[in-house]
Amino acid sequence: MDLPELLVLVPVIIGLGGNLGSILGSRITSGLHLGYINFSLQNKTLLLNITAIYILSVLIFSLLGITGSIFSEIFNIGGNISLDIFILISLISGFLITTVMILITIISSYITYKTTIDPDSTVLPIVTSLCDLIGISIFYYVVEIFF
Amino acid sequence: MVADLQETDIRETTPNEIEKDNLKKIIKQTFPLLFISLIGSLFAGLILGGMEETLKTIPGLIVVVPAVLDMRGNIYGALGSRLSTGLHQGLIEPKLIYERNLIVAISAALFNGGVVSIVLGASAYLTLNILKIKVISLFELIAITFLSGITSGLILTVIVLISLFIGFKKGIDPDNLVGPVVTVSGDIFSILILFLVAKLIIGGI
Repeated sequence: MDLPELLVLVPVIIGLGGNLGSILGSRITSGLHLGYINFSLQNKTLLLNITAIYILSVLIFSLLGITGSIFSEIFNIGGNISLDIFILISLISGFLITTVMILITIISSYITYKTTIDPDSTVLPIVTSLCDLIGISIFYYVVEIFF
Repeated sequence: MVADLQETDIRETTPNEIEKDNLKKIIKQTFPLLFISLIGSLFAGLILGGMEETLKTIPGLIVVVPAVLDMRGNIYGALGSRLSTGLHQGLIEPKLIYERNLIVAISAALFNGGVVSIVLGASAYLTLNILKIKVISLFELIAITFLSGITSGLILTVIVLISLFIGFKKGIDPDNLVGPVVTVSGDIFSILILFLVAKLIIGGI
């Protein structure tokens, strides 16, 4: 890639997907253990958690665009991408990553819970490693659209 | 009297209000931590960029970097998640005392970390050899991944324990703390320790 400032975003894009995933996964697994979450579309706690994750995702990925732009400016990396493009790339890839991540989290907690494997030991590793792989691919394709 | 109280309780907290309140609470608790982790990851990226020279002088090392970053998050994220469920259920007390549940969770994580590090070193060596890419000796690679794995594992365990316990005592939901704490400290410490150990073993220091 001849846009080095985007490389600064790579670890963060991967990290944030995993972070949001582990917040959601952790909350769902605790909820399953304590019995206030079950897998139905009427479950208010589950819907509430998903809403919270989407709001967090929009907030944090906009901030990523801003801080990424500032960091690359301070450390003199690249300098060919304007602030608005930074924010757009970050927000679009963030939204897509979050959507895929939520699906993975719910499916993996459901499967492990149904098979009586302790979801605490399985959900987070599945979510974080898949988020790495999917996060980097989504980011790559979003960047491709812009440049 | 009792019936009265219950009725006002119900009126005061309709489902909608609970939802709004909780949504705000979740965001308020997690957002600052996510922001910290955002800055942490940005720095981890910069550290990695700054160590480009070391990566070039130790062939094969760069291949284990993403795996090392990931593994730390996976193993100690699972430990943190387990501890937070334990704290919620009251199975684990937020104190640094000898307690069976706590010791079992920690030693399982460290054991996993050690074994996976050896497997990582061996499989990276094997893969690089099959692909005919230049790499340091098998013993050196395993020594680097194993020693850095155990060292950063110990550091991370202490960080996870202390932050979860302090957070729990202050009323922060440990579920919201686990992810950001593990990823920030995991990213920065595992990269730093990996490079220190690599330099020590290859003789750069």
